[in-house]
Parts: sequence; C-alpha cells; structure tokens
Amino acid sequence: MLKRVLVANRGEIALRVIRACHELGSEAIAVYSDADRDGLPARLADGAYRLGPPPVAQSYLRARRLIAIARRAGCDGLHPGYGLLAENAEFAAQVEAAGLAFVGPSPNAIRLMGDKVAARRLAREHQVPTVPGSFAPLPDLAQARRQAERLGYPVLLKAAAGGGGKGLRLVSRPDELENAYERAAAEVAQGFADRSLYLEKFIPRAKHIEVQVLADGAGQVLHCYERDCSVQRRHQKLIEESPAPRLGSEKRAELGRAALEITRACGYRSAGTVEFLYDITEERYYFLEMNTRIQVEHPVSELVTGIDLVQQQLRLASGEKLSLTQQQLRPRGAALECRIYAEDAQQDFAPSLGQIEELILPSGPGVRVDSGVDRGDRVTRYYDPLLLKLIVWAEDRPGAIARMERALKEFTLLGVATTAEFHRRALRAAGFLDGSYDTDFVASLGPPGQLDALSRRQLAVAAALLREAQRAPLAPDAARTESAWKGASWPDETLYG
Amino acid sequence: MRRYTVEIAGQALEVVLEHDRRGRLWAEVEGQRMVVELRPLAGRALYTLIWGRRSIGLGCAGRGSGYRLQREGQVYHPVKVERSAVHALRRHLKGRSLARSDRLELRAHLPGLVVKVAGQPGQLVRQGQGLVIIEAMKMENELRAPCDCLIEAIKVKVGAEVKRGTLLCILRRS
Repeated sequence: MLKRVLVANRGEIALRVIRACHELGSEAIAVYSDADRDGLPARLADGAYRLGPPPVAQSYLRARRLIAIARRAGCDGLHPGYGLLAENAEFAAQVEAAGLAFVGPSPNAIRLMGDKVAARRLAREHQVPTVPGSFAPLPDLAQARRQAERLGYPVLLKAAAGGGGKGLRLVSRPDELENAYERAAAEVAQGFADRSLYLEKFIPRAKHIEVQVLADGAGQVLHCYERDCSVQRRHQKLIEESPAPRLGSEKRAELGRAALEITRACGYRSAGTVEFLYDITEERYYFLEMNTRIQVEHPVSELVTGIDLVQQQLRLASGEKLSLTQQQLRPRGAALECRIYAEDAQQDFAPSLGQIEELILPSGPGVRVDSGVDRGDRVTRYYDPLLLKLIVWAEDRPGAIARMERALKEFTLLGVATTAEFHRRALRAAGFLDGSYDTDFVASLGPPGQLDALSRRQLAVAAALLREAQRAPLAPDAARTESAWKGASWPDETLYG
Repeated sequence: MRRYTVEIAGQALEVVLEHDRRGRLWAEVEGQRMVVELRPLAGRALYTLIWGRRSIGLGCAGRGSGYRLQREGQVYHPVKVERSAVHALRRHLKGRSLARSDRLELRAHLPGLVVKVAGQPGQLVRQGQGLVIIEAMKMENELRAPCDCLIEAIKVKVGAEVKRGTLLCILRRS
C-alpha cells in the first residue's frame, strides 16, 4: 500500500481521496492555492503545501511544482482526482519518471483514449458499435462537407482532444457547416495541443449511459454496471443514477461486455468509465469515449455495488491485483446523485459567486454527502462551480427519489445560488419519474411553480419579523413581557412536532 | 402596531404586526391572523418561525433591501421589506421623479425638528458622515451619507419642522 499520497486536486474530490487514503492507512498530503488555504482538504490532510495564486495555471496546473512537492513531502504516490491534470498523459509520465505511483492508468492508455478519433477506431476494431462518423481526423472543410452529406444532417462537429462537451458543435444544415468548421478550428487551435476535428452523426432522443470499469493491468477486468447521466446542461451532468432506468437486462449485459472489451483493448489499469450514447428510438448503443480517471459521479456506482472505487484505485496503483470477480459484483438497490453547483438555474445556470453564509448538510439513512466546502468559504471565479454532491441509496428507484427529495429538503445553503432548487423540480418531473428522460431533459423542464398562498404568507411574516428584529422592539415593555413562546396557550412540545 | 410591505416572488403583501394584552405577537397577512414568533438560532443564519401551532425552519441572509430566505431547500430572493408608509412614499415618488441613478435624495425618515445641518452645497462627504439631525420624541436622529458623495443642495434649515419623507438634501454619488 502507498504510504503517503499527494492529492493533486481541490474541492470535494480532494477530500474524497484524502478519506480513502486515511481508510487505507496511508497519509494524504494536500496542495492549495491562495484561495483554498483554509479549505477543507488542507485542514483534513496530514500536510498541506502552497501551490501559488488562485488561477489554476499558477496553482493546480503546475505539474513540475506538484511533483517537486510530492518528492519533498516524501510521497510515494500521486492522485490527480478529475479535471485539471487527471487526463494529461505527459503529466502522468513525469510523475512515474519521478519514481511516484500515478493513481490512474498508464500514460499510454491516457494518450490513446485522449485521442477521441483513435478511440473510435479502437472500438471499431473490437466490434463495439460507434456513432456513424469519421475514423480519421478531417483534413479540411471539403472533406467535412463530403462526410456530413454522407452521414446526413444534423451532425456533430467535435475536437479529437475534446471530451466532456468541450469543442463540440451541432450543425443542423449544410449552410452552417462552413462557419461551424472555421470556429471549431479556431477554438481547438487555442485550447488543445491536438487540433484535429471529426464528425459524428447527431442522434436525437438519446440517453447518456456510461459503464464504470476497474482493471488491474494484469488481465483482470471488471465492470461495476452503468450510470444514466442524461440530465445535463451544456453537456455537463447534473443528475446521475444507477441502475439506468428503462434499460433491459439484455442491453445492460451487452453494455457491460462492450465496456470490458474497450478496457482490455487499451491495456487499462485503475478505475475508468466507458461512455455510450443510447438511442432510445432504435434501442441501440454506441461507444462515445472513455474517461481515464475517477469521475464526479462515481459514488452512485459505489453505493449500488458496495465497492470503494477510490480505494481500489489506490490499491491498484500500489501494484495490488484485483481480488474481486465479476460474479461477486451484484448491484443492489438504486442510487441517485444530485450535483450542487454554485449556479443559478433560473439564469441559464450562470455561476453565482459569494460567501457561503449558512450551510446545513443532510444526513440520516441512505444519504451520503461528498462536499468540498464549509460555512464561511468563498466561491470564487477561479474554479469549477461544483460545491458538493448529494448521493442517496435505497432499495428501489422510487425509494431513492423520495430519499433525495427528503435530503434536498434538509439541505440549506445561503450566500450563493445553487442548483438545489433545480433538482427539486427535476425529481418531480414526469419525464424523470418514469425514467424516459433524455439529454434534452433540462431544456424541456418548465420554470419553477408558483409559491402557494400559505408559504407566501409565512415567508412574508418571517421577513417582516426579521426587519422588526433589526429595529426597536415593538412593545415598549417587550423585555418584561412573557414571550409568545413561553406564555403560549399551547404546550411546548407541539411546536416542533 | 406596525405595517410592513413585503415583496416576495413578484407580489407585494402587507403584514401587520401587533401585540395583544397577553404579550403575544399577532401577524395579519392577506386576511389571515396568526400568533407568530421568530426564534433565531444563536450564531447562525437560521430561524424557526412559529406560525400558530406549526414551526417552520428557515434560513435567512441579507438585509431588508433584499433578504435571501430559504425554506425546505428552496431559496427565495430577493425578499424586500419596508415599513408600509415608506413603501407607499417610494412608490409615489417613483411615479414622479426621473431621478438618475447617481442622484440620491436624503429624506426625513420620521417627522420632527431639524436641529443641525452639517455641510454645504459643493462639499464632498464620506460614507457614514452625519448630514442632518432631526429631533423627534426628544431623541436626536442623525441622518448620514449613504455613500461617498457630493452635496448638491440642502433643502432645509435648522429649526424647520419636517414631515416623514420631506426632502432634506440632494446628493450625488462620487
């Protein structure tokens, strides 16, 4: 087992890794930018080192500094979390060259799956269905036009080095292609080392379903079943669940087999995710891409399978082999995750900055909270607006939805706008309840309902009383008068009943 | 008895608060009368609203110009509260004046006697600096500059009787 692990990330995932380290008897060393100095990871880790000023380029993306800190702190492993440097093959290679275990796959596997066109070729070679489209980078606009015509509009124009919705464009008609191509080319020229673009046929009415995999790089490859991650805005997930609703057992098994095929084909080690697009109309699945890291939504798979994926990552990185078998992985019950972002759902999910003035996290049976923030923390513009994740498990899907509604009811966060209100609406929508939702679900969800008369009155009275409390007391003898609470004509115990 | 106008979710509601002889606080809103109390949780932005025999947990941040109230995970923002008289006056004035955003009017918030005017037109004042003192009910009430600003005009003199809402000074944000 690794003795001391550098946690090269921030927020909730840094905390998640620190916890897994501690449970395995390893020490965890945190890093922080000036904005995160007093944050939870730095407080809970066994040591914490400063990276630099808040912008990620001057802090969490400083590969050489991270490796230098890991060596100075006496670490024997480095966990990259997700985002930031997690899928940077060069970084992984540098970590290994420095004699540290990289908690993730080999640099080669990251490189191979990071090239989305190469990954599509690999899938095709292994008879895994891929979305109709390019299997080589587009050399120019003329070729793009020919391919798009062959595929039939609408098509998606994507960056080979993209993923997670980055550099993605929907082209509905032939006359839009030229403009989209020029803009996408300009975008990748700025943001990515690999400037290739490719095309995929656009599939309407689709679900985003992904399979969690685990591999030890020595032949043992397992899958931890699927997650439905179709509730997305701007191609970023908001709600994930496992098992995927409305997916037959035959299709579920097929997806699992396809995911294992891809995982074996790229010589994978560690935890990873194979993403598929599921065409609801045709009931067909297509390989999309593989994410070579732990994912934000990993807890739902942990809850239904009982496997601690981050612990598994750390064990595998230390050279252990998988001792589990596929037969031992029996999914049980249903799990649901709601991502709480500092975003205003009513303002098109615009980020909301400020200080977290009040925070109450739900707890109780079947509720898990992976939070990276605490009361008093500032939400700044420098980082991803994900604050925390509410995750629930129950015996079945309706039970999990009811439990999540209960958790959201207990959840209180004041100071910044969050997606909590969106989740409450989403969980009650017919399309969510019957599991038929697709990737257009968020756009199809209506505005929040009207405030009912009683709630409106109660909130108005509360506001008036708050204002009153900031003024002189209403009755001159208020201090001497029995309070309404104590002098009440009803027994005390009914008040909190 | 105090009357407040509360703006919530696009609606304006009048809330009347009144103690009865037994010291209980009654609220009347939209024709409903209820014994109420707001109990703060020490050191937190959390409250319990006692509403008759019900208790309702609330989170609250911000000020009367825009509270952020949270109930059962749902946030209501902004919830604005004003004394009803002030609210009515503001609405009245809003209808008349074409005040530009950097033009500020300092108005009497209570009736009384002007006992001091500090400063002259053309003078720059700092936020919080006292401008006018109004004596009412044998108490001196100091009206201060709401921000760093320039005194454009002073509309009252020492010794003047003012009503609630009387224009005292015209200021310009600097």
